[in-house]
Formats: sequence, C-alpha cells, structure tokens
Amino acid sequence: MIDLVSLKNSRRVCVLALSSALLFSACATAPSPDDKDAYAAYKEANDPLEPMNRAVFAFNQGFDKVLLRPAAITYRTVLPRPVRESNTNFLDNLESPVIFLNDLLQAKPGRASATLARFVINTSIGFFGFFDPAENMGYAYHDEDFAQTLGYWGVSSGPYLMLPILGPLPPRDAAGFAVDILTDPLTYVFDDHREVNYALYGVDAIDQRHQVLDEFDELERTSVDYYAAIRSLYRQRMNDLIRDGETDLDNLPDFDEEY
Amino acid sequence: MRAVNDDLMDTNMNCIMRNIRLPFWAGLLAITMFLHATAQAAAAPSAFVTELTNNAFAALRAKDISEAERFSRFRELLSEGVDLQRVGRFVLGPNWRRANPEQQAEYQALFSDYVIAAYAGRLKDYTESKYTISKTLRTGENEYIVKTLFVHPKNPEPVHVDWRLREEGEALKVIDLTIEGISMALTQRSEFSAIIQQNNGDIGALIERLRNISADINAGKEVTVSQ
Repeated sequence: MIDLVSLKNSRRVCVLALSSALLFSACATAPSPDDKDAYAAYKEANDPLEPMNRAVFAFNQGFDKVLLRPAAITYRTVLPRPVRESNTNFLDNLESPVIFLNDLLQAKPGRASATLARFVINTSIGFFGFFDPAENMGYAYHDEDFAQTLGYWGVSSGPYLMLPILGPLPPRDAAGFAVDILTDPLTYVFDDHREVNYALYGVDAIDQRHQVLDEFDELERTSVDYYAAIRSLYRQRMNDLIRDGETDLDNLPDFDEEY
Repeated sequence: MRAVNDDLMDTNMNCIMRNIRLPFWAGLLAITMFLHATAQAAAAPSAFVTELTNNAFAALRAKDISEAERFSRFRELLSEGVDLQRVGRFVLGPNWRRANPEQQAEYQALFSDYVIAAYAGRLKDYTESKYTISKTLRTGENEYIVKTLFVHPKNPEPVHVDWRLREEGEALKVIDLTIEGISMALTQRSEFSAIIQQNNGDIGALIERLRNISADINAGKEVTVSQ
C-alpha cells in the first residue's frame, strides 16, 4: 500500500521519470514501412513501448493476483451487498466536485446541474452519500474527469502506456489523472492527515476491482492475448466515456472492407 | 443515415392527425396502414434480438440436460444468429489476404469454435439478467443497431449492450456486440493482430493459438469457480 500511496502522491514525477527512463531502454522495433500490413498494424496498436508495457503489465498482473484480487474477493465475501453498495455510493459522491468541474469545462450545463443536485441531495438526505436517493429523482450518476475533458476537446490519448500499479495511463490520461488530484478538494481538506486520502484510494481500488471480478477472470481465461485485449478495451472504454455513451455512427467498424 | 423509427412515426402521425380535412374513415385507414407498416419495419430487428437472447440464455441455463447438450444448443443458436464468416474475416483484417486458402478455411473453422466457446463463458454471467430494448437505429440500407440495457439482479448498474445487425438475404445476423462502448469485434481484431505481430507475421501462430485456447476453454468449463 505504501508504494501505491507514494506513487499516487508524486504521480507527475513518476509519470515523467518512468516514461523518459524507459523510453531509452525498451522501444519496440517498428516494422519497415515497406511491409504495408505490418506497418499498419503497428500504427493501429499505437504502442511503441510495447515490450516495456508488456513487462509492466506482467508485474501488475502479479500485484493483482497477490494483493488486489484477493482483497477484492475478501471484501465481497465479508461484506453484505447493501454495505458494499453504500460504500460505492459514498465513494461516488466524493467524486462529485471533480465531476462537476469537468461538466463545466466541457460546457455541459445540464450535466453540471445534475451533478450538483446529486451532491446536495445525496450528502443531505442520502446521509453523507451512503445512499443515492438522487437517482430515483431523475439525477442518475455519470462519470467525468479531466482526461475525458481533454479528450472531449480533441486531445488524443497519445501512445499507450502501462504504469506500475496505476494501470493503463497514456500521456493524456496521466495528465488528466494528475489534474484530478490537484483539483479535488479532498486533496486539500486532509492536508494534515494525508493517510485519509491514502485510505480512500485503497478502498476505492478495492471497490472498483470487486465490481469486475467475474468479468475480468472470464476475459483473461478466454482471451487470445490478454494484454492486447486490455489495451483495446481501455481505449474503447475511454472513447465511450468521452462521448458520454453515444454511439459514434460515423466511425463504426467497417465489415465490408476488401482485402 | 441516422433515421430512428420512432421519430419517423411521430412525424408521420402528426401530419396525419393535423390534416383535418381528410374524411374520418380515410384518416383512420391511413393511420392503421401506416402503423402496421412501421410496426413491421421496427419490430424485426428488436424481435430478432429478443428471440436470440431468450434462446441463448435458455440454452445456457437449461438444467435438465448435460453440459455437452447445453453447449451444442448454444453452438447451434450462435451459428444461426451470428454471421461468423463475416466477423472472422473482419477480425483477421489485412492478414486475411496473406493467408492461403487452406489457412483461411482452417482459420474460419477455428474462429467459430473459439467465439462459441468464449461466449458460452462470457455470457454465463448475464443469463440471470433482465433486459430491455431501448431503441433501434437504422445505420445503413441493411444495417441496424439495437440498443439494449441489461440489469443483473445483484448489480444496480445497468450494462449497455448494442447489437449490430445486418440483413443477409431474408435473415438478420449479428455482426458485432458492443458492451459499454467496447466492440467485441474490434477487441478481437487487435488481439489477433498482436499475436501475428509477436510471431513476425506468421498466421500459423494465430491458428495454433486458436486451436489450443478453444480446447483449454472447453476443458476449463466445469472447474470455473463462480461466487
């Protein structure tokens, strides 16, 4: 947990140090542009640090097997569902200020006011956010963060990057992650009690992991290449979040391409 | 391109209703005929999804039959309802052209086996879910996207599943499934491409991997721990 904590705390330094140090050590050899298919595949993967990323991914999988997944399984086994749901609600509610800020930064007043309404209702009637009465009043939860805001205004993710413990964080999303922490009031509220932030990060990680236990077990078991599956999944999911779940009808996969 | 049947119906209904000079019976007739036509056009894709989902879940849930029988029912449904040949070609991408005819045939057979084995597992978590169809988009002359929402009894968060369908002759076939914005075909395509890249462009390596993984998935079916 100490590693996670110090990484999160000095995330900017880490992102910079890691990416620059490892840039020199482990670049994939790009295929020659003459080999059209191989070159196109290389471009499409947009993963010039793939050998390094695969190594970090293997490390993260080890971390998951030894610590995070068992913690998530214990969490699911020990706590009854209503308690786990309340925890999720509580953690979601704490994100509200960052979500609200990014609603505004994306010039979406409707979503911003929904986030504000949720925060007011759930913090008061919802007993500090442990319950989510706002949902039944027509203010459903939605996610936003600064990485999505950058994406919304057209910043592309940059090359794929797998960071230790933190997982997939290409440059745009790493920058977004840093801004999220800097713009989160909780970062300043607990200035003298940093351990509260660390505890929250830890609980959040376990909460998020426990929600996808079966899905990821099944995905790993049935994937031809789990690393590539996660890479594709991460990018598609980010793009979906940036579009707020709207289908991108102009860029549907082309099932008629001729080869 | 983006015609939504519901919107079409609203507009037409409004036109008909506003035209008060039409004799009553003619108006009624027009409305009835129009509703009939719209209902047929709109119902087909969503009815197809409903039927396929119900049958697939019933096959995976069936209690009174053996695991092998359950799997063969599921296989039959998927072979019928999914255009596995088209999906297989898409997933192989430009490598399709580089494969010789024997490799292509072998790949297609193994791809079908793999998809059926993988989805028998992946969909198992969904069989307890309730689902609703939220809308049908017409995305091309013979293409539709049916948007559905799956809610698991143990999870309050609904899952968005989009079914991309294509009319092949008379029948509708699934060509892609998008779960929370993640296209299964695109994901598989990047996995397959990665395997080929890792093996210096050797399609044989992917074929070998597909052969092994289908066997592994089927072998592991009974021992999967579900909590």
